[in-house]
Amino acid sequence: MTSEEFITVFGGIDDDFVLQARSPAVKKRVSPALSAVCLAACAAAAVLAGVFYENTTVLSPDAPHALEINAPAVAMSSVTFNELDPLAPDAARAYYDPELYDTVALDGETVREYYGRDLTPPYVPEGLSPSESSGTAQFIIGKDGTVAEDTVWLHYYRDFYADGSPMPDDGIPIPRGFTLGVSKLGLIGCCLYLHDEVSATDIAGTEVTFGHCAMPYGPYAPETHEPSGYYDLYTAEFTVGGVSYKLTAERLTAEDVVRTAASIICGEPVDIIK
Amino acid sequence: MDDSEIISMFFKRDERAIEEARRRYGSICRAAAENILGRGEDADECVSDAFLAAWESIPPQRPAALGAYLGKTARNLAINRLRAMRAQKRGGGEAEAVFDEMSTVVHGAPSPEAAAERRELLRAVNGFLASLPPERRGMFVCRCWYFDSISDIARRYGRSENYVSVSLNRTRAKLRKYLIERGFDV
Repeated sequence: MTSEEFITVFGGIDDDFVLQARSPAVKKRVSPALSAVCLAACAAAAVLAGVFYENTTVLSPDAPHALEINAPAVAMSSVTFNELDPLAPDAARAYYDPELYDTVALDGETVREYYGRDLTPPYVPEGLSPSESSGTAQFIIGKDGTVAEDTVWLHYYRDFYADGSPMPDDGIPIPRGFTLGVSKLGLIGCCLYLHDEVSATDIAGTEVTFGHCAMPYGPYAPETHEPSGYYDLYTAEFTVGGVSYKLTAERLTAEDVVRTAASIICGEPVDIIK
Repeated sequence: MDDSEIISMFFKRDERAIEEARRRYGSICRAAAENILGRGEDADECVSDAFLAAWESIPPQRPAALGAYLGKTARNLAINRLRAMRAQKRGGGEAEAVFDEMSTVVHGAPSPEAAAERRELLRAVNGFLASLPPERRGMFVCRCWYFDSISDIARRYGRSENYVSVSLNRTRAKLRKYLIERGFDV
């Protein structure tokens, strides 16, 4: 049977189904805070703010499918990538007067205590591994104990140099992998988008701003300065549970970028529907 | 004026029946036609043809639900027109995307359909739809019957587009499994 034949047969479904579809009873969605409390009570496995089928299905015990907890999933067709300005300058680092601030090196365990969780993404694309320093940080802390800068950087690449910086591994001079910046203070810095209106993508109730840029790589032709080629740079910025994240990926697929970001939001690996 | 009064006017051959039916159910017919054919002359003609077809078929038909009867007529006319347009390599609307999506449920070669086989299949599909929660059923019907876009369904149901896309995907997978379990050659 072809899909067209099926669709024709489908046209004869019950009249009530046809008419009811046009007048759904749209339920009031419960706030993430309340859903978090109720989900904790129901012992849900996923990160509360990111569970795909939370709210009305779980919070209505009398509904026939109330306990249908499905694995989270993201449809690529619903993801919008905003084009980035490839010439956006790096933000200048803030200067912290040593008379007033200390730079404190924190190991992975102390970082985990500060953030209350392991920052390792539940999904990491195949073939990538963390750098040795991944998950450690240098916080800037005022003499009065106030944390002025708390950004943690995690690096997942295919290979690394001895000094821990990402190393290309396949003849193209751009390493494959991603860097994840995490901050409670929101000091990671934002991307420069080409258009004034930037579209966000909703993933399990969290707004994610995805960015893309086709970046040139060398060597460059001496006469024409044409690059040898272009690679995909993707970014993802979002805030979940009061913590800001910025993912910057080089030479990964769009699906892997979305899957990594979504796994952080949902607290578990996520299916991708192409 | 309710359905029974409008149908009475059809039976009395009172041409105001078409005006009343159009006022009450024109939007359903238009939605089905425009979603399949895109906005324009083709969709407008389908809608008009649907009301003309109703005038010619009522009586003797006495539909139990006039809105669904008119909507189904408009939908069938639009699908037939789309087939003709595709034969001439033209087309529009959401129908192509819906046909592609449903090819994950059924993907055999074209085959001659016995009337009895179609009735059995329709009975099974109605059974499947009845087993779904109302929201999921409604979204699926909006997509596969009305050919609504994902964004229109999301807006109508107060859900994110991602939620709708994933819900539809899972419903299609469930329908395929349901039909296979009941011996349908999909």
